[in-house]
Amino acid sequence: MIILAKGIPINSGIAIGTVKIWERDDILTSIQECKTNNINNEINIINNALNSLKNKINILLRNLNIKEIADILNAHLQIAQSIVEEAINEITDNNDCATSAIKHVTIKYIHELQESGSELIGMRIDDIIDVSSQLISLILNKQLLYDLYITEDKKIILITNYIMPSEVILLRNVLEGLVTEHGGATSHSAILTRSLNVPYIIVPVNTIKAIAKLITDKILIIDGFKGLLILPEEKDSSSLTRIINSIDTLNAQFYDERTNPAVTIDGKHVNILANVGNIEDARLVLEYGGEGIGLLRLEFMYMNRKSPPNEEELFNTLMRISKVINGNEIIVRALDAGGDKPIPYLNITKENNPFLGLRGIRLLLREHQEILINEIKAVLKASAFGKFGFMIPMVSSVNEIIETKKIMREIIEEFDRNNIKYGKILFGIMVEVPSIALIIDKVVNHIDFISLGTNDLTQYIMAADRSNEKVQYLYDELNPSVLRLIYNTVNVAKQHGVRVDVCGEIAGNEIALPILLSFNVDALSMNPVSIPKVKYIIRRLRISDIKSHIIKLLENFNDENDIKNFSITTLIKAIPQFNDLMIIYGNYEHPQQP
Amino acid sequence: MKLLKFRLINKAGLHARPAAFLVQEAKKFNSQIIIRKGDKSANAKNVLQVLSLGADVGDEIEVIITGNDENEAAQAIQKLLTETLPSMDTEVR
Repeated sequence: MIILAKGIPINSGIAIGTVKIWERDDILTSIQECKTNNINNEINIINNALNSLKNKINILLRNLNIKEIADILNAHLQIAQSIVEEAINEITDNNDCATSAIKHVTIKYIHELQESGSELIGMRIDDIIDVSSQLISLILNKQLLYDLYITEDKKIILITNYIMPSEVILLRNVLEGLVTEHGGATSHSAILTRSLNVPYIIVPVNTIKAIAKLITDKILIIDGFKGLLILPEEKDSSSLTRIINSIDTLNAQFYDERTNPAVTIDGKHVNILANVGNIEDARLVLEYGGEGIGLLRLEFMYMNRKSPPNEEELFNTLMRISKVINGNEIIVRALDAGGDKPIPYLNITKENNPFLGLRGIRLLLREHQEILINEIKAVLKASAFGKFGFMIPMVSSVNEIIETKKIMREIIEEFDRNNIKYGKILFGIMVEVPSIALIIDKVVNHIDFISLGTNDLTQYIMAADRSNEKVQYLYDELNPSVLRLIYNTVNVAKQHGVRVDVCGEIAGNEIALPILLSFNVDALSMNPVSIPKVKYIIRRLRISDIKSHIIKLLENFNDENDIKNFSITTLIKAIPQFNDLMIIYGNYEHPQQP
Repeated sequence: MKLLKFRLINKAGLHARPAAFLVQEAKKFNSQIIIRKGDKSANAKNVLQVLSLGADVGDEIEVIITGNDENEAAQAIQKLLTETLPSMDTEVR
């Protein structure tokens, strides 16, 4: 098997099917400006289109008994009504013809929504474009491409630049999996794939162009757990279909049980938290059964603007996210910028090796203390109303911790002097640089918790760039060297009563779960989509049975894969269907690149 | 004229589905119903205008209702924003 693309998982599950690539044309841009001298005729045309669309939607509403779909279709009815009312004004005021009037109204509201300041409402631009495109195609009597697919009897994997909500609804009986280049986890299309149980991933822009020739009409696999698009060997496809159907059933069970707590058979409870990069991700946390946010990345607050956010903006965003997750715990990470994640107004100098450069807390302490101060102030103030923790990234020496705590103390003194209300916060560090893990015993007295950032930790331990395909075989978060350092770090931290979270990709990796639980970590923080799967597995593990064996293998392995293999055996014993998942994963674990 | 002030407490704010419910409710009354957030205002019977407010959880909005059934309309809008929409938050998708 070959991994063709890596993207973001939007809806979990694995799907196999025949690929249909849909390079769509944008109806709206194709509409030319036109004027009319028969206003009544244009008004008739537009009203007829509205009536046909209403009929179409009402038929769907009668035949479909899924609440999310009904709610979205009802919203579309309202949107259609408003578009047409305003378009009729355009026709009478400006002599526009019907299609051109719809286009004007649509463009006006796309701008309004973009400027509304709410990402969630920004996502609803899709719905407005969706409805107006449908009205226009009814007027022009234009057959939409998706109409062709409805009659297909095969299940398809649809790959397209973007998809509109109504199209997901219409394709519901043939759509086995979905890949788009644009979209978001809280778009209506994404919500629909969840209620229709269709695995969905978003891949980087231009992926389709790059792989189209390789994949047209081929059978492909979508891995909605890891966000992968995979080309299987042709001979395997029938046995794969059986296996994938079994995984599908298992995935539905993950989701059904997602609100149950993650307690092992022998009573060990693990906090399951989410990694969140914006307000939209936050809205998914509770839906997927998450118990809080273990990593709130603040970078989104700093992107696409000309100056850093002030304390008040940071505070308001923290409060909004806290409300969205019902006041559950949020661990805020200080801005993690650097040469690899540049933010223009921070004037970060170009570096030969940004991964070893002025990043994370280094940058904040050396060049942007004002940002660190605003963030700490905002978190302290927000914690008067909700549960918050604050952690600093890229820590490599004890002095960085001492310096940051000094700044924090000064802020608290200032707050006390001025009678400013604030709450108690947990203070912690990301452990992602080996140097700090190796002297963790000298750190524990300064902190309340650590969060293991295993992605960077792995690449620094293995000296293997995780974006370099040629050394992917070395970048292995389950390599015994990585696991030993994690184990020692967790042990020392726990002995001193310091809480241990894990927030790297390893936290959502099923094979890592028996190992991390044997190490006795307190919390796992991951992409929200992975939460149901991880909780399901944890509830089926008995750690007392495996712990001593895992520790023994860690000290005395023959082959670097011994621990991994033992973990896989443990998983399959606990959940026999995992055999199927492992067959699939086994086939693309060490991928060749196309 | 009735003037109501709310802080939005439903998690999704007035995005498409909640906005559609609000519009459906508003259309049941003859009164003119205007929603204001900051310096923006919207006709509550036009979903595109309601969406354009960008009203999200925690935002303060004003509702101004004028007409022969303004009392009934005020009651209905109050119930929708403070009870019905927040109760939909807890529904499992």
